[in-house]
Order: sequence, then C-alpha cells, then structure tokens
Amino acid sequence: MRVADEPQPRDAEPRRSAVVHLPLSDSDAGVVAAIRAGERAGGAALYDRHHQYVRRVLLRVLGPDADLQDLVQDVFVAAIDSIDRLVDAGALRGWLAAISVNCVRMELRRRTRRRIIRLFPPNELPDVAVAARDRELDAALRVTYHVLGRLPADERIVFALRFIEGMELMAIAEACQVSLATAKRRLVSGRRKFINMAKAYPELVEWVKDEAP
Amino acid sequence: MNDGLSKLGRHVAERQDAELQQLEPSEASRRFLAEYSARRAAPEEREPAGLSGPLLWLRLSLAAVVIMSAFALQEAVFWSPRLSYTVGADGESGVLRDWESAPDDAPLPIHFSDGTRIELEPKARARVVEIGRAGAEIVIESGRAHLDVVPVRFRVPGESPWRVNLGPFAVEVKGTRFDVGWDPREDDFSLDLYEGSVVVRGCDGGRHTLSAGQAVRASCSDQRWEIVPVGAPATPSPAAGDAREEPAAPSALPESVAQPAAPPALPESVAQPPAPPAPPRAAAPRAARSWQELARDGRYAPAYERALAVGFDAAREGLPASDVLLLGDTARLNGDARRANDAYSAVRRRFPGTPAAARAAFALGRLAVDTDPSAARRWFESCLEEQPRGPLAPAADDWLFELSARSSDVEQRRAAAQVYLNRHPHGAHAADARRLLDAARP
Repeated sequence: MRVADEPQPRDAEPRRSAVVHLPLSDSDAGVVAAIRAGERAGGAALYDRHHQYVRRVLLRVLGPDADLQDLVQDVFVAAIDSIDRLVDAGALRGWLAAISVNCVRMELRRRTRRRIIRLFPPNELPDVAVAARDRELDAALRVTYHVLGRLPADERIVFALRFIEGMELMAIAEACQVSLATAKRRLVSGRRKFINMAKAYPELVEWVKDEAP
Repeated sequence: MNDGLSKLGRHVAERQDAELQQLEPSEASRRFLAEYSARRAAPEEREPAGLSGPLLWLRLSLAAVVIMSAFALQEAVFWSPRLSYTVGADGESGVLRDWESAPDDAPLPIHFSDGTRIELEPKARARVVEIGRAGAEIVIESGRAHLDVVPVRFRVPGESPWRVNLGPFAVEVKGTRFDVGWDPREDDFSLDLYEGSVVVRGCDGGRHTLSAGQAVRASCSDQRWEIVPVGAPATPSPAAGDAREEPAAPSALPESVAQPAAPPALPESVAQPPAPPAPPRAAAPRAARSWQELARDGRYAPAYERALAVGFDAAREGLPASDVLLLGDTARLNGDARRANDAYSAVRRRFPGTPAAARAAFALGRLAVDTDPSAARRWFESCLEEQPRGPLAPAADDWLFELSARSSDVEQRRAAAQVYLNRHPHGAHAADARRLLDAARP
C-alpha cells in the first residue's frame, strides 16, 4: 500500500505497438483454411473481410444499440469456434449471417428474460442504448425499432431482414435455419403486428396507412 | 412486396448505412480475434470428425458433467486466470498499486494480457489498483490517456469490468476505445469516445451512458457537464472567470508589483472608438518565461530556480492563491518540503475557507504521509470537511483509507473500511475495503 510520493519516469523510450497486417490469400477459402490451421492471420482476415456485413445484419435487427460491437465480436468468436462445421468455404457469408441471427436472437431473449426477472420497466433496462444521441436519430428509425422491440424475437428478425435489409425469403430462411414456410409464417405474423402497432405512432402512420394488416 | 413497409425499410436502411460508413473497424476486436484464432489447437490435436454412436454419447455426457462442474466451481475452473500487465516498451511486469508516470516527452504504454492497451500521454500519472479476470481498475491522477479496451467475451459473475477513476469521475467500460483526461488543478475532466460505449459517473453521482462519437467536458466546481461531438472543445463557462477566487495572476511578482493600476471604467455613455487591430503576436519579441509558465509545462526544476530568483517568500505572500499553490507544488517536486510546506500553509492562512485552502490541506496531507501520518490524516480530514464534494475529496478519502490500512489497530482498519465503502462503494479501494471487512468478520 506504500505509494511513492513522486513519479519516477522510466528511462526506456516507450515504443508504440502496432498490429501487423499479414498477407493472406484473398479468398474466403484461404481465410477458412488459415483459421483451421490456427493461424493468427486467419481470425484477423475473417474480421477484415466480413465485419461490415456482420455489423450490418446485427444493426438491421437490433437497431442503434450500445452492445453492437460486443455482439459483432461474439459472432466472430462463435464462427472461429465452429469453423470445422463449415462444409463449403464459399458459403462463409451466409454462414456468418446464420451465426449473426443466432447471436442476436439469444441477445433479444436474454434481455426479455432479464426484463421479466428484474421487473424493470423497459426504459430502465441498462443494456438498451438510451444515449442522448438516440434522441437525435431520425424519428422514423427510432420509432421503428421501438415497435420492433415489442415483437417476438423470431418475428422481429424476419421482419428486419426482409423489410430493412431487403433479403429474399429463401436467404432469410437459411439465415434463420428454418423452412421457407416457417419464415413466411413469421413474416406474415410480424408484419401484421407491426402495422397494427405502427398506426398508433405519428412518426410511422404515413408509412403504413395504406398497408392492410 | 408491401410498398409502404418497403419504403420505410429502405429509409431506415439508408440512415443506418450512412452511420455504418462512418464507423471504423475495431482494432481491438481484430487483435482479439487474431489471438483467438491462434489459440485454436493444431489440426492434428483436434478431435477427429465423425464421432459415432456410443462414443458421441459418452462425450456428450462428459461435456454435461464438465459444464455442471464448471458452474459449481466457476471460480476455480471455468474462468480464465487474472489479467496481468506490463509497463513500458521493455515489457516490465506491472506492480499493482504502484504509480506509473509517463516521461515529459514520450507516452508510456501499458499492455494487459487480454490485449487491452493503455497509453499514458507525456506527464500523465496513473496506477492499476485492482485487477481481475475480466477487467481492471485504473486510477488516473492527472493527465491524459488513450485506452483501447478489448471487449469482455464472458460476463464473469462477481467480476468488475474495466473501470477508470479520475478524481470525482469514474468511467465504466466494456469494450471500447477512448481518450480520457483529468486535470485536478483546473478541475477539468474530458473524455472522447471513438468506439463502443461507456458509462460515466459524474460528481453529481449520476450515471451517463455515452456512445461512439460523443465526448464529455466536465468540471465539478463549475457544475459543468457537456456532451459534445468527439474532438470539440469545451464551451467556456460564462461564470468561469467570475468564479475564480482572484483575478488571473500576472506572469511574475516583480512585474505585477510594477503594474500601474487599471484606469477606472468609463461610463457607458462615453463612446469609445473602435480599438485598432492588435499587432500580430509573432512580431513581438518573446519574453522570458515566468516560473508559473514553466511549472505549468511540467518543467519544475527551472521553474523552481526562477521562483527563487524572483523571490520565493515575496511570491508566497503576494501572489494569488492559485499561484501560491503552484509555488508549493514546484518546491515539493524539487524536493524542498520545507518551502512547499510554507507555501501551502500560506494559502491556508491567506485564503481561509476557499477551495484553494482545501487543496492546500490536501497537499499538506500528502507532504506528511510518510513523516507524520497523524498530521496527514488531519489534513485530509480538513480537506474533506471544507470541500466535501470538491475535486480532491475522493483522493482524500483514498489517502485516509490507505493511512488507516497501515494501522495495527484492527478496529480502526475495519471502521475506516466501512466509512470508505459508505462513501465510495465503487472507489479505487472498494475491493480492499471489502476484503478488510470480510477478514474482520468472525
């Protein structure tokens, strides 16, 4: 607990550390092979090539969120952990979408559980972004995610991937690892609930006024 | 395709895409994933593919047992070991609670075993006071630092995440990249958040969540709390000039004595001609720097020599409080405890009841920590009594706790720990205080 009274500057000149970007095969197959071989460059290259896509998928479903960066990293950790289960390296992007959907579903359910357990009013949930910047966001965007927050997680995911990300239903079904029929069913249900709720918000009513539930 | 919903979706996507384009990839995540993929076992060491029937069930059963055991013995089995850290470019092992100071002209890097990096800017001073398996607690006494915190992969029950204490401010961190600074002399806190999110606890006790792109400029004495875009300067407080205890000091005592009195203010009705443009500053010959300027730049040795040359005692008795405090610091940092004591005592005598007097009490306490712990305790208590919510109050409490922890009186240690926890449940010594209380329980 003894504390030196005065600073003792170190003699050695500090050196700034830097991450060296290693050359790697410019293909998903090369990245997958590097990860399977336990090469350091594999994980970094996976992130470099796909972080924007993963972040976008997560953002579409979650909206503005303080935990987005954590979730992006969780997706890549899960991908590296299960890389041996990827049969076709050419399908890496779709596979990452599936992992992203899985991660975001777990996150949404975790939040729902916590809300139930702790009996917090939704606006006091600490993990949901309530930064001042949110108030400045586009009103339609903000209220869209407010309404989406009231949908079941599975329906919210399908709705966001379809209407915000613009994915085809077949791709959504693959990302959600469900049949096409199940994806359609969730979309129909989510869409109906969204329209019914959105009509109560002035920020959204113009967008959905002509939509039949 | 439903037209209205599709248009709404495109609208939302366009807004998000604009934001995504401004985001930079996280270097911390990239580095973590590089390390993580390198940790994978080599292919020949990994399990063979295609496990079948009984072997698969056996492995699943074993996995279930392992997971259950891990939950039961999570402290011992499941979680990774405590973090470690090195200081400086030569990778010298860090010592918990030791002060680390960056040189005057170069930054000082601190590397943690999880990939987190802290870089103290020149002259900054900090120490790691607590280290766990999911983060560490750092106290920055003064100066600026750049932090690049690797996101915590597992949320470890009972483990604190990253936390940075700066005077009365505290920053709670998950995974993020930000610059933070604290100037206790000016009571000036700043934080620029580039990535992720942080929670900042201010001197009002409130918690403020910040997200990437936001910055805070705050001061307790000015009651200022501003959220601005990253890189923006603080808005000068309209009351800042008035709130000072005395007008700004002239550069040196002899000159100040020689200054003619300011002319009386003219009545408003007397029209003043517009002032001619000031000549460019560069054209004027540069005057010799005063000891105050040198000291504020951290050049205490030449500042001390110059202060002695212009008359230490006269400065002590004639200058405003802020300069006399600086005079005391200059003497103290040159090893002249007697003159430092004289300067701080002069502030106490000449400016009683002011924030400067409380700061002088704190400085006197620090001077006495090693030579006269009882006197140090009294000074820190005075500082707290006079400015219980002042910028040095948390540091005074830290010192009081440290002094009590050195005592051989168990009851005194326990009482001090309880007081500390009541005041600072998340303070720099909260973990130590809890340990002390736990140890005192029968």
